[in-house]
Amino acid sequence: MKLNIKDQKTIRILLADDDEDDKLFFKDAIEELPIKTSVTLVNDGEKLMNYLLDAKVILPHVIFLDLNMPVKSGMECLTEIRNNDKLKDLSIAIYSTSLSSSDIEETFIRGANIYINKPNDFDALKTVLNKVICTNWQYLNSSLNKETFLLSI
Amino acid sequence: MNLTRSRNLYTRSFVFSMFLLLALIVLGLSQFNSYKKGQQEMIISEKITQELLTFLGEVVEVGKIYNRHIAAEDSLLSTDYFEVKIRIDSTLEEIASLVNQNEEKENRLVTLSTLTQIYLSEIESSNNPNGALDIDNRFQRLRESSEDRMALLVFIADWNQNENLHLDENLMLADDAITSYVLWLLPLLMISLIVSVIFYRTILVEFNTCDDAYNQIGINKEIFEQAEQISGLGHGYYNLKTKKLKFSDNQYRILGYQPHEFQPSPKNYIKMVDPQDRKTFLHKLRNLRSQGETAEVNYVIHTKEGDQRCFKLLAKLRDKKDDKFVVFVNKDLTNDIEAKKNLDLLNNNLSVQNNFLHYAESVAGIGSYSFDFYKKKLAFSDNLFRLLGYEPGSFVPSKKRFMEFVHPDDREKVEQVINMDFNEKDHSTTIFRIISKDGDIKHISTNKKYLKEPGIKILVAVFKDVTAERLINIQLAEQNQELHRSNIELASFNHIASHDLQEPLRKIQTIISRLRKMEELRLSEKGMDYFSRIQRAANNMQKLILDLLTYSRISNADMVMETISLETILQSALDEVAGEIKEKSAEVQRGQLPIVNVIPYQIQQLFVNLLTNSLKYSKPENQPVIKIRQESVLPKELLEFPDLEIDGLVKISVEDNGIGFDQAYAENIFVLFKRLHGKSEYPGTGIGLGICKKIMVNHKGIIYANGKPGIGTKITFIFPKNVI
Repeated sequence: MKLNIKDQKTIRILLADDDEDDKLFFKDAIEELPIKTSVTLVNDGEKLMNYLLDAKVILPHVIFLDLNMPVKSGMECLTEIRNNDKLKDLSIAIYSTSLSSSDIEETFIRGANIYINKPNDFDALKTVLNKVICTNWQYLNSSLNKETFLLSI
Repeated sequence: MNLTRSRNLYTRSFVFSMFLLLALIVLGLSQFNSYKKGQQEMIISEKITQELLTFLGEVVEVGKIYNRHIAAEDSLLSTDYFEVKIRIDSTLEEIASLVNQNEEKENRLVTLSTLTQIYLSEIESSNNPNGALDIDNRFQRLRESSEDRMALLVFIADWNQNENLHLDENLMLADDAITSYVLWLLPLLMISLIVSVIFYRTILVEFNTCDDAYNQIGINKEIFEQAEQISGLGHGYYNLKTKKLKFSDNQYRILGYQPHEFQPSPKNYIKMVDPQDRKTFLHKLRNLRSQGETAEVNYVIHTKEGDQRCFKLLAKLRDKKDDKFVVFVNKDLTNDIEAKKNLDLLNNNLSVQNNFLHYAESVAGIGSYSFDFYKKKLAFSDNLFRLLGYEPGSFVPSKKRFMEFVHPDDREKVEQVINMDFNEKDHSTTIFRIISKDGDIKHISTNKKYLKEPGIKILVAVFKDVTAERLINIQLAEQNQELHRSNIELASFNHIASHDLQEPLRKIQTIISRLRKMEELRLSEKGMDYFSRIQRAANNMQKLILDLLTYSRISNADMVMETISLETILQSALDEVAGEIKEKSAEVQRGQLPIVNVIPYQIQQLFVNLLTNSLKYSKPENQPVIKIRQESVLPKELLEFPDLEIDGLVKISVEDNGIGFDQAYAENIFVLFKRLHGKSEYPGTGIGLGICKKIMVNHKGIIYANGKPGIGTKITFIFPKNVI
């Protein structure tokens, strides 16, 4: 998937997270970025999959996926997306509080593009989001490796 | 085996055979004599017959001459007559020589001579030189001479017949002698043959017996020689007549010599006897006076090598008709005496050990049950009685009695334990219950062993009261379960800590950062300070949570060892703290580090923590210098690793030129949450070095610190190259 900021006025971003606070921080941070974006928020994994599989929906450029969600977890969603022909090329950034090595390893194996540990500083959050949204994903895809998987600011 | 009997037998058979032979010879000789005599007589008779015939011829010739003389009417007898007369005389002499010593024949000879004399004188009477006789006279004479001649001839014929008769008689006698001799000879020979065969058989049997006996004697001699060698015996004899002393081979050996190495004599033997014992020795031997008397003496002898050996001598006087011997046997008692000493010592030890065993049994609550297979004897140790609630020896041990104490449910199990099966290999420990005299249920652990030595077959079953241990084990199992449960709880706590505790904290931190940014200009200076304090507190809490997580992760981690270069690990650690190094412009000096077998991320964590500390506690006025190098292990440090050599260990030090610390606190700094400095001075959770210590424990290593206030700190850790 090619992403060109200049050509495309709006970047479609989807966040799947059940935490109201995190959704708020995320929205605030995105809005403060100097990029034109449209943010869609879903509350859980099931709602995410329903949304993505809806034929009328235009697919987002980037999905931010929380792991710890009710009904359907982020890990399950990741597996489903990567196993779906229509969705398998979507860019997925894991957006989690967890820094556990097993979570990082597992999501990497299942084909997530990047792993973001939710920062504890608003400015840090903005930096991270900016970096992810403005990444040339095609380039990143070709040099996917474990060392750069976990995004450090 | 009775030699006297066989000797008698030989003698009898010999005598009998001799007698038979003698009888045969005597008989033969007598028969031969009579035969010979008959033979001689026959020859004589024959010769006489011949001579008589010659005589007869001569007489006839004389008659003829006389007849002619008469017819011729000669006055003188012709010379022929005288020639014949000479021949007659010689024939008569011849006959006389043949009739020697035979009265009858001598008588006949006398008669013959007389008759001849008469006849011849008759003839010679006509020899008259005075002229011839007248015719009548001549006839007269002729008639008379004829009568005389007739008488002579008749006599000769009669004798001749008589001799012929004798001849026949003697011929018959000779025949008889031969026949009777043969008749005697045959049965005698038969008897002799039979007797010979019987004796031969008997003697053969005797010889075989003797042969066996002789072989047996040879074997016995060999056995005796070996027995002498084995038992350290020597023997010999002293011939009192020839004054010769003889030794057996082993007698030489026990004296330290090769057999027949010297010529033994009473003189040189007495020289070997210890001077102190010589008098007794000689006294005892000289007191032997009569046949069969014995003497016994113990004495010390000096062998060829100069060793002193204790001998026992047993001597016996043998005084038979021709011989006078002192026969003696020597026994080397030295080894026996030593063996006895050793045995006494062993017995002493054994009795001490037995006492120990009894003591140990009662202290350890062990009882034993032993069954002697050969003696069919069952024994309970004192403590087994006690285990069953009885005083030692208060009843006769029996299998049945023992089984009565065993809990009914366990009897089958116990049956197998005390069952004798000497081929059984597996003697696994069995636990069963007994009900003692007082009704207490005791748990008994048992194991059995077979003692198998030549002539010994003993089953030993050892019973140990494990009731208390069992109780402890049950408690331990319960505690283990508890521990397992709490570990699971701890793991879920870790999860909570890592996620749920951090979640609100992170939000607080985020909101503060947001608020602070937004309200920065509107807040009073005091308000700003409060914001900073909230933020610091929240940051500290997060750090604490993260450190605790690290600590618990290190405690619970699976030990996956890898062989890796310590330099690689150090590089990763330096990369991790690169920001801080840069910030403090610190200099890091690295020595060569070895390849080790460790849990890499833990050692990396160790380096990170030590580097962080060095950077944190650096002196603001100096450039921080951190030296990381391998050192050689000191002997006193080796004491901490009793199973290892110096080259099996790795010793690394991390030294800095920071603020240092008072050596009095060297132990404290590794204790969790122990801090030497205020949080405002040097922020920290007090977990960092605790983690380091834990990592070294995981690697079976040690860690210690040396510090001097204002000079610096040196942390040293030592661990085995290969952690098993």
